[in-house]
Amino acid sequence: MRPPIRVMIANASAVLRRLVTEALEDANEFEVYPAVHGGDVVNQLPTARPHVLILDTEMPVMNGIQTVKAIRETDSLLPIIMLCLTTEASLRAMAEAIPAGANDCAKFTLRMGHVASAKKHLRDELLPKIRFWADHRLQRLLEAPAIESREIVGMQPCAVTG
Amino acid sequence: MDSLLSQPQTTRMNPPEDLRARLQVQGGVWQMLPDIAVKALAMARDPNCSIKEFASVVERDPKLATEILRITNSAFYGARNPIMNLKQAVTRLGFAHCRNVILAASLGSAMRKLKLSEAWMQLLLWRHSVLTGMLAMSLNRRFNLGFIGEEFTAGLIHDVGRSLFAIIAPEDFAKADPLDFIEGPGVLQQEREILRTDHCELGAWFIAQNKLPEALVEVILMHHEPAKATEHRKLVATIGVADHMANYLQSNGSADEYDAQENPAIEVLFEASPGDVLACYTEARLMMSETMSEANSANGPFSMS
Repeated sequence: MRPPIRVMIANASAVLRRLVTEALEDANEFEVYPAVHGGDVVNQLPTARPHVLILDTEMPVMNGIQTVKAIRETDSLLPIIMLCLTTEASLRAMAEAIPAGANDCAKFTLRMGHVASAKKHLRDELLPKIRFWADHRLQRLLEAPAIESREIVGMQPCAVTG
Repeated sequence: MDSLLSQPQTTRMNPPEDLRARLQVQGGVWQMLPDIAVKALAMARDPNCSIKEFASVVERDPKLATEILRITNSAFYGARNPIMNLKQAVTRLGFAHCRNVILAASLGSAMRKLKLSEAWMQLLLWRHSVLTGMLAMSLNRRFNLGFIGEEFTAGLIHDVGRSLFAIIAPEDFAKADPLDFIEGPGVLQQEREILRTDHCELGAWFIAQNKLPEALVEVILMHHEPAKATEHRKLVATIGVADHMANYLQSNGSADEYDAQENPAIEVLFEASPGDVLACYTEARLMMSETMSEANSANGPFSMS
């Protein structure tokens, strides 16, 4: 049996963090860690050691694209999987995410209806992508050393609110 | 004019007794607001209140104070030089806009205390309210409609009846309103069948009970039928136009294929306030795209943290 995949959700909205967290936890194969922005992700990397980052492209302090770039520039071989979550309106962000080093993008919309259908939408959108990348990188992910936040290019550990 | 306005109030503002009772017990959005926000909102309506007094109340709630500074310094409010203190912020915004900011900041933070299913409903409705308010502000600016902040408040509050349904009858509300923002002609009828009233009637009754301005009551009651509005027709039509645009943005994700000719409230608005209606038809997509972009921005004035 595969050990749980550690997923960190970075989103500035508390409600969206809760929604994505519950959507993934319902699948019973993930440990989910919340983060409020990219700086918070960097702070938590050494302790949470996530296998997968799901990064909103619109966040204060350090957005998803900046976070992806900073982590890849620090260690281009780090097998961490990074998915950018973005709205349909942020097409530019989607176009920037992959060149920046994201493995994939997931589309997010605010017309997902009530909470049950919203969770289903997120599971349908995220689970195949997480599983695909995890299947390809599992061994490397499990063996990967922890990254120190002070090593992230251009990023100092910062205070977190929210 | 008074008789025209009183007609819908007496015939339509009569939600079922059990829903009223639930609202009185559960209190709805107003009891979710922090005490300081409620006090600040009252002060902002008081013509004798000074900026110093107002700022001294708001600064007791650091989160509210921070939000006012953040919003004042956003591009949406045309900030050029950074504003560093509350008195400056209040001076720049004026009381009318401060009231908007306090409402926006307080309602946004109140959602975090709810169960996820409720918080999610409120988030989607909140998003719709903010988009409608911002679009109303853009319409006001572009077409010189002459409002001084009430258009944003009206946009923010026009669907308060849906938020109240989500609080007092979440299961029935979920059946009546799929929250897909595709508002066909049967949307109010569906609410009446399931909830025995519609969100316009419930919201207008609630706002009237809370002694908020009559213009808001008419906006809430008539925003689906702006052609039937009376006393505050221009404001109702502005919200009708903005509501139609916001629904489109939320149900389609972008303004790319929006056809402003299908927005019936535009004609009503430009009858009530003569202006360049053709420009409204041609510039609608651009206005919507800019507003959407601002609303999506993490550093935007009303980002949903």
